[in-house]
Amino acid sequence: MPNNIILKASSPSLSSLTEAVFITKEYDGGDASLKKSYSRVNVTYSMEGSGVSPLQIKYRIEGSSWKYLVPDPVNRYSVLKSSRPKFLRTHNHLKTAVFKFPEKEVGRSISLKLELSTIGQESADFEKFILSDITFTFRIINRK
Amino acid sequence: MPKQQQSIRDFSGGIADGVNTKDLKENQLVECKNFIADGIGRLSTVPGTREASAVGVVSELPEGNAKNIHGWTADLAFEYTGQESGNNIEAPTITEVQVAKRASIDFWHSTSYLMALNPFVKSLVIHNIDRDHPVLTWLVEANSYKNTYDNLDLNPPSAYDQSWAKGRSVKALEVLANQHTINPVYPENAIPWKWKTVSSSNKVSHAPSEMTNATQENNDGLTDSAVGANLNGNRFVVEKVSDNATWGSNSTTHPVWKMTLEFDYWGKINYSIEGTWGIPRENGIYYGYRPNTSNPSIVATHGVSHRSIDLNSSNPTTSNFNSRNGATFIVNNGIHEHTDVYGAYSKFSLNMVNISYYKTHKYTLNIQVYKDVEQTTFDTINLEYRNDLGEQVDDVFQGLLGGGENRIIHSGYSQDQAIYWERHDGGVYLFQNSDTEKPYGIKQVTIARTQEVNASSSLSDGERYQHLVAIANKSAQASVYSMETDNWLPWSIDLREDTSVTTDNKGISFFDVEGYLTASCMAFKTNNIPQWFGYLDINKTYCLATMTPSTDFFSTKFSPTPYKQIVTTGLTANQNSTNDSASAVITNSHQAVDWFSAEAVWSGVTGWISGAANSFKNLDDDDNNKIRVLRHSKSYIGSESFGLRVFCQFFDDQNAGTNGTVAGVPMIGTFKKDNPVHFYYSYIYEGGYVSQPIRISCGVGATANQEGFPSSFAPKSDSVSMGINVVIGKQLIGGDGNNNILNLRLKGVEIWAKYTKSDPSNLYLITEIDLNKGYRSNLDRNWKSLSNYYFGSSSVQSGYSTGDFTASSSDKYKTDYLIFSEPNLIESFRNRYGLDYQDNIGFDQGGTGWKTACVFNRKAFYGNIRIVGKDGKIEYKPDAILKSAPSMYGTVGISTMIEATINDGDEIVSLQVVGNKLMQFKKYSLTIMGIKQLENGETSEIIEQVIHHSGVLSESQICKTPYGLFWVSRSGIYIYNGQSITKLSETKNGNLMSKKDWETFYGERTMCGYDAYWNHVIIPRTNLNNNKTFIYSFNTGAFTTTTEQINGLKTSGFIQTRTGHVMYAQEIAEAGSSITKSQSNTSDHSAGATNSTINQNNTQ
Repeated sequence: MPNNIILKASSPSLSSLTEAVFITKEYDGGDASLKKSYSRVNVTYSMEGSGVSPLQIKYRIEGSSWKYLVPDPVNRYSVLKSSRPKFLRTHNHLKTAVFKFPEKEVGRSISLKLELSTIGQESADFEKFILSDITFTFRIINRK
Repeated sequence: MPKQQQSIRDFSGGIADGVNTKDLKENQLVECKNFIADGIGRLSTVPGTREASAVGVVSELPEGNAKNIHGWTADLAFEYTGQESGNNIEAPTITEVQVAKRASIDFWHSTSYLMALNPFVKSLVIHNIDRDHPVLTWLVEANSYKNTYDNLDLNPPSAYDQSWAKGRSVKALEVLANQHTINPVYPENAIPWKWKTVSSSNKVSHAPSEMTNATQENNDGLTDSAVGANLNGNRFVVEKVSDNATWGSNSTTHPVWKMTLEFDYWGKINYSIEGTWGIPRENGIYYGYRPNTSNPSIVATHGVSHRSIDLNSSNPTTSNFNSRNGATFIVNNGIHEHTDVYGAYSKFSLNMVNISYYKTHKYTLNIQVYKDVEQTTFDTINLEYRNDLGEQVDDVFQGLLGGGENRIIHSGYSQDQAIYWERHDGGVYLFQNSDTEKPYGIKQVTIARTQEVNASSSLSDGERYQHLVAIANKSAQASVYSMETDNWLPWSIDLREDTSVTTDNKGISFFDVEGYLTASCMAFKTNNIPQWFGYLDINKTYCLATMTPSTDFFSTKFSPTPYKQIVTTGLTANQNSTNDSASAVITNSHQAVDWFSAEAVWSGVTGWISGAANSFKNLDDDDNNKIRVLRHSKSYIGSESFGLRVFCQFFDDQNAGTNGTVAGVPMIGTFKKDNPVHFYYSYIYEGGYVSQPIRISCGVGATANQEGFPSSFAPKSDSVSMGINVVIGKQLIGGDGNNNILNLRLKGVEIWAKYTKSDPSNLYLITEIDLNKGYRSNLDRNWKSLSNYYFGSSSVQSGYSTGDFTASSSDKYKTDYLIFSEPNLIESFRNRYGLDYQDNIGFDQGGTGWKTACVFNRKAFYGNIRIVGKDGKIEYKPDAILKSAPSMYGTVGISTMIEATINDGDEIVSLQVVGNKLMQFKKYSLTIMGIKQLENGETSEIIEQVIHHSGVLSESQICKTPYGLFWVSRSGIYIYNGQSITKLSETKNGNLMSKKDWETFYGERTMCGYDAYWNHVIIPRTNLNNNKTFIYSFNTGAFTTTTEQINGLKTSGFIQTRTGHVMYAQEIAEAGSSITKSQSNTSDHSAGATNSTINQNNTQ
């Protein structure tokens, strides 16, 4: 049977994704020679829907291997799902998810990785994501 | 050191794979797949895709990397009844997508309820995430509930006892409920709520009427002043539920106690459950409470029935929830995830895919919206809109619903109940959402479409256009889609001469100008010949046939040859022994000529009245100006029966007529008997094509269908004038006199003369006839009406003439002639068309055509061509460009060829125009040409720049943007703004994409397309099973990647929708809902089908 040809076009809406990766550059707080002790990462974002999204967050210090951040227990938008730090959907409202580091992290620079990940029956819906800003909180230790 | 913060809001730098990660700018990214930064502080997911056509067409795209799609607009008076058969302009309908549900939270407590154990103070907080405030806060102190009902222990001594329960437990729950009721903590934006009271019909837990004795009353505490009489105003909130199926088999002895928190809100509320009362699951996920176990890790599972909720595995009685010791379950609508919602916003769908192109309607939308939480009263919104012709379905939605931010603004209802709308593929959704302050639900929506006005017969010129899309199919055919009507037109384009041949082709090159489309086989297959496609009004002023339909789409050969019908009966004067005999006349022949020995013999000639005067005279009836009617021996020879007749009359005879009229007076001129004149004719076609001039011939050939003898005319004596009269007959445009038009594109005729002694290499224009305007010549350049053709008859003959030869007089006037006193040398064929008249014109044979074309300076340019050369053989010129005459876009020939760069082992891939520059893309180079104004007023293209290593492999690798011409090349990504070229894929810091990645990315099938809506260019790696696409954002000047665009089967290149979205054709595997061309040629397309068939068969 011959194929059909249809016309397609880009949508006015953002895509519903199953795969997405976002890796920042290595941020050094303005001075790459200074060692910093990182304590917190705030991510301001919005996303359609409710519940736990498939978007997870990792970090690495000075180009080392990727590690998971840890949701701040008092923050409602950073959650742990299947042992992975995920973002809560926000019903398209701009919210801030707060993450902490699983251990004391010291280094000159830090990079973040946001990516989609689902395990088992987790909801893979990921629609209308908008990232507004990322904020690192750190304390300068010394100059080496 | 104090804590510091570093905030990053700018992700607009995109990826920079070719730059060391440590050297990235602050706003650049190491990887950005399926995200796109389209501004500072805004990184979002890539746009989605949607189906832009309601139905597909059953076919396949050609193999290869050609663009195979072309969008253009066409002016047309269009009554396209076929639109309605596509079922996409039916009357709008309403569908209720979601019934409003009131937000609430259910609390279920087991009979063995026991709340307060260590720690002695338990807390439970329900938090509204959307509005960021607590909904409910409960605190239970164990120490203060030591006796009887104090500790909320519903566990009876043995079996269930109602009075015990009432006294010890229900009262406790009511007291607990009052923690909120008595002390609500609401911020201003909080959504009010209350405990839902239960009625007697719902087995009220302990209504006053049930209290049969003082003990019970006392146990219930209803009269206990310590906790306050009239709890909840004697309206109780705890309901006993005995439901074996849901909660457990022994629900009679162990009922479940239910409380419902009910919001004044008909919609979703996202909330979290927090506090120490219960099991703090992952980040506060909280389903139930079972305090007396050391392993509070078992939670409700999504989808598991209530009775199986295992909150206390140590319960000795049963494993069901109702018998659990101390179980509380908080649930919303049975979905066991704390951020799921109980409650839903009203949502309706107004279903309308498209609107009629030629009908207008009044649309009336009525919305009833509840204005109180109990849904007893409502407001009514009445919205009306009458669409105008030319509007799209989105215009109707905007007109009806309007408002900023997609909110319906209307005086008929309060904005507390604001209703919003959102577009979807099949119409719009109407709904309340979290932005609605007090959503109480939409009661009803109705839509009416009335007052239809069919404007198909009254469309004005300004309304006559549509956006069309041509898609190349396999086997050298193309389908055409109308954006306005959202339908595939029933008229297709077929390049094949033998339509039984179904071999694949490597794509079709499309090109449009002035609303007409042309198509050429890019493989130059012999069976394929370029086609012309357009919408025409074929009823002409000077047309003797009524065409049905008079307007339609037509597809014909791009370069037609005039129809010729060779006369096969009769004898020429030359063949007849009696040259001057009237019998030397060929019936229905084409032209009349004046031969030097002619006499006034008209008897027997069609249209001639026997015995009438055989002289011509001036209108002033001055006998001295009469001239002799000359014998038209060797006459009436032509290529078309009753088509074109050219009467040439040299005013040279001074003899008296045979019927006794006065002698004529020769008109003085410069025509000489040794400078014979040859006449040629060419046809002018809609879309800018002139046929190669054909010499008017005399007589028939020796055998049937053989060309006659070439004509040659000269005066009998020197120094006389020449008169020309031209007649066009039915055959010219009417074929056999019925509706079968020989060529629907025909718009006129040109008559040319060659003066064989004085200028034998040129043709000069004698006169031109326009089937609407009339005729004109260089004698005065004014258009004049053609006359009815009598030719001496009392009745109108089948034709129009440049002179009337009226029936009112038997005399023939020389004013009926265009009289040239000297050879007309004002405008030659070469001057007018830039061509040698002996050249083949256009792409008039199978296997000819082009691979790319554009319009520049009102001339068409064809690149990489195959055309008939000087020697009559087809030549392939991959480096050549053919330039047309101004506004004559199909009029090209081998003598108008330009070769900017030749013999470089390359070939032209694309011709593009940027401002006043013509850009010639080859595979490995780019040549930029400018315009040079010549002294004679003509223009010439000059090479300004040749740039190597910046070519493209297909036309799909180029797209036009508001910022200039954008293209992808093996060496990178470029843009040209008319003045300079910028390499976008490279910065001072390095390449934005690694060279290695780009080498593996770029190939023959790489494409690019501009999306004006999103203001970015998408660059898929391939048009078949694509798995990676770069996106270049003009907002940020940055690249990102996506895997979500242009996936799947074969795709075409890109064009834009009317709203600027990038658009493309794609194969889908399943047949699905579709139309076929054969299907569409039936039913409502009866008229079109007839003509479609005609068009396919009459390609002359």
